[in-house]
Amino acid sequence: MRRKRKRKYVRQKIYVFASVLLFFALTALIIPLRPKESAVEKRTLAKFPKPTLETVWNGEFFESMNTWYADTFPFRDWLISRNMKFRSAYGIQTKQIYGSMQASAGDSETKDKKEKDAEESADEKQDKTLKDGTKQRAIGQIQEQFGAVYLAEDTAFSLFGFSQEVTDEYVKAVNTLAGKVDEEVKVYDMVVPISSGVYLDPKLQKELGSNDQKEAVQYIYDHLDDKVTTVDAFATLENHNDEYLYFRSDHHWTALGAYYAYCEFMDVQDMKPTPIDSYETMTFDNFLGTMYSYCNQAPALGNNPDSVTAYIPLATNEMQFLDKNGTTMDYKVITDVSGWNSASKYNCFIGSDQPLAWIQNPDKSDGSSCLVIKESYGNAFVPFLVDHYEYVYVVDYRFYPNSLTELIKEKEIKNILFLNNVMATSTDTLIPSLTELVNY
Amino acid sequence: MVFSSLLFVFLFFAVTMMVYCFMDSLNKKNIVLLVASLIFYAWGGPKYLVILLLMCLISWLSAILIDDNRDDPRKRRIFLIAGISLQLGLLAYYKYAVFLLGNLKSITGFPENIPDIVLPIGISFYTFQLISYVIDVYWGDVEAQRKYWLVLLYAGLFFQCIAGPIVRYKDVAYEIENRRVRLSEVGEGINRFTIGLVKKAVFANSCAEIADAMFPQKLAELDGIPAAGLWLGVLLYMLQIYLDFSAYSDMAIGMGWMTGFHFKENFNYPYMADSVTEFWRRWHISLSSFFRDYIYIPLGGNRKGQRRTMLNLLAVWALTGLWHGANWNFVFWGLFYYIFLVIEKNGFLDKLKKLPKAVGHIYTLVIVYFGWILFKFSSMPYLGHVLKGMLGLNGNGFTSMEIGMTFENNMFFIAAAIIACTPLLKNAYHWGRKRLGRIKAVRYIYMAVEVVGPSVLVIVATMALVGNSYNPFLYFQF
Repeated sequence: MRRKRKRKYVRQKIYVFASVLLFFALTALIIPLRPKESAVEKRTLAKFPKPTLETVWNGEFFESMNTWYADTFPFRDWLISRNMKFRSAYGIQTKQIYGSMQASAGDSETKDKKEKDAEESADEKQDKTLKDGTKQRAIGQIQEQFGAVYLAEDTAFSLFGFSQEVTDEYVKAVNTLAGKVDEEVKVYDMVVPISSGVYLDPKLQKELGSNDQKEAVQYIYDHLDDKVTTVDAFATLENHNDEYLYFRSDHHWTALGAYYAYCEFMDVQDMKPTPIDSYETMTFDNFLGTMYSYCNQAPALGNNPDSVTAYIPLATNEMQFLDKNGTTMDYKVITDVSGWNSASKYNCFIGSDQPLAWIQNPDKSDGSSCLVIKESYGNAFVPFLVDHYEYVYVVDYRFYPNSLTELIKEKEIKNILFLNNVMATSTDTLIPSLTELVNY
Repeated sequence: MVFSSLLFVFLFFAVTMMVYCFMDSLNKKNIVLLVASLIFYAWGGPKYLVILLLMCLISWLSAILIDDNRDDPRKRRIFLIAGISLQLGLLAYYKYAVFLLGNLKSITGFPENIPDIVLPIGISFYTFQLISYVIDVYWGDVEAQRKYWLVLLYAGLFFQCIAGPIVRYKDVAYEIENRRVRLSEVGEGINRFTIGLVKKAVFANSCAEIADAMFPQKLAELDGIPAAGLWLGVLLYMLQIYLDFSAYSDMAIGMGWMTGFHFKENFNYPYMADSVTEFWRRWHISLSSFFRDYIYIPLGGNRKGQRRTMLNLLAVWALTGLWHGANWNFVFWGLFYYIFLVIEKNGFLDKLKKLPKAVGHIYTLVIVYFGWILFKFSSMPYLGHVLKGMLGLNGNGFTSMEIGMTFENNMFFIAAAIIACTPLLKNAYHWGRKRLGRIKAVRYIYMAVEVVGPSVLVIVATMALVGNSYNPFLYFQF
């Protein structure tokens, strides 16, 4: 009797096991269920390989098929997030490091590879000549890299690795432009710290292998020409470091952080900043930014998404930009992104990263203008400038294909602000494109 | 194809087993297994399949010729030597030529160009299986298999072809042509297979992830890892290599049970050993017994005096080392064990037995731990830096915040991985069933675990395998 019952379990076990196996096997064969890209990982997933005689014969084809099968497994994102939950039981994970400082500092192999990639893309990219005969600077793929990220409880901090070589190049680029523009054009430079520099104790930063951001900023300011007026955003951000200045799941600052920097910029120009409570705001909840995917979708971040608050300029919410294909678009300074996916909430500011954007203030007609040269840290900052100039121009140095000096001359721009985060000024994939732009 | 890939589990394995179940005769079932095995092997590149087919051809032929010349010892011997030399020759060419030529070049400067020979997957395993088959036929332990495709099935069977265990033909000769599947064994096989899958996909892979972080490729970066990190890294590697390797054996044995084959155990909780001698009786048993039966004993074993015994052992351990890889560090690793085995043979083992068990156990683990350092690092300069770093001579302190965090972030996992290397869980499970089985609730729990346990394990492994493909694009657009 007992034996019989035991056998019954076995039969049931085999049935259950076979059904589970079959369920997965069949599901995995339903091609439409297979994802093509991953939103959280920000990459296109592996494609089904094309067989050639050679790749089949040496097995490469089958290898790629394995990769494709696993990489595009149905319900991939869901399975991954379950796995992350499961792995959070591996230990006490209130503090973690993702990526390695060792790997980011002086990894000659990646550097070689980067250089090789750069060379390759340089071969491909050629300045193009438009129909009307004007030339355009070629734009390559320019990306920013994180060395290491420190995750403490529900906040991710990217750590800062200083590169003197790249910083020197940055200083030179700013100085070059300052030398090229007319005497009456004012040039400002504001280097913004990243969250680890503002929130983390200096001793902890050091232990984590993160370089001193204040020293880096000071180094830049010390080496800039006298013609360049520096704007100290560090002190004011530090003074408010009990506030929500940076996102916890993303590497950007919040509009509030940008607001304090804006006040400082106004101060330098002897202008009066608008009180923050006079703006109308829009708030977008459930923001899970770049750090969330970098930290393998850590539940600590996933369970506490960020919230993006945007301040709408008093004068106007209308703007235009020139997109990467050269088309001019009408857009909003602050766009309602509440329907967008949770990774792209930071895109609510000035249409995100466009080669050139401009905002005309209908309440002003004094011809005043300001040009902001930025990477994406500038996006949250620009809306505050709208009320103070008749024209605000925004150039993303990574993507603007034309001559900067011509733009300045043509639009009779009187104020130029370099707004860059300190990480960007040490990043060897970014600054060369700034150099290229100011020399173009 | 590896067992721990989603494609294997949900396409290859699922389809093969399904088709296998619906075949009504053993002959057809064998054909299914053979076709599946050939596809499995060809997955790593059909060109390597040619080598497998050729190796099997050599052994099939020489076994038949040996069998047919039973009465002529001279001829028998010639066919044995011819068969084995051809197979060893092929193995030497594919596995050791680059290494030998490299050494030759560094001594004599000749040859200038070392050919780029790719190691066909599993060649070390199936060559040994085929050699054992030919020798067993020579010794008359088993009859020669007249059907080529069955020799191919024996050596190429995807359960064990690429990662062991090294199955002897005589152990499965009967089962290849006459086997019966028992329902209870299918159940056991499913357990074993899914446990192996989780061992590899969850445990071994996670161990590897932590260990790899401690051993960056560049020497300059390695020097940045503090001593505690290196010690931790080797520990995780020690866990990884057992969990990984034994997982493959578990899955092979499990698949065997599902189809009516009974392979011998390949691992018997080696980290529970109380002496190095015992460790080797528990670690990769099919390999050490191969060397014992086909090298050590034929050379005279311990029957020809102490000096000869030591020499025989030396041969066995140098070869054991070399079998693991064509590099000096593997030879040193084999000789490292040789030293301790000789010491134990010459009286130390008896002394050890008089001491508390814990002493022997700790001593064994320490030896094995250092053994894995030799095993892991093929580059001598790298090995030197690791050892220096472990002694704290790289000048970067004992530990760092990053190491502390790595440990803290994974401490429960590490504990679980250590437990997974012991029979603790298995024993507790059986003890519980035996002692508490009378309680109804407990019985129901056991029933539930038995019925859904394997399926849960498959799902956990799937999550982990999909998770492994998680590869965030490390570049972001600012």
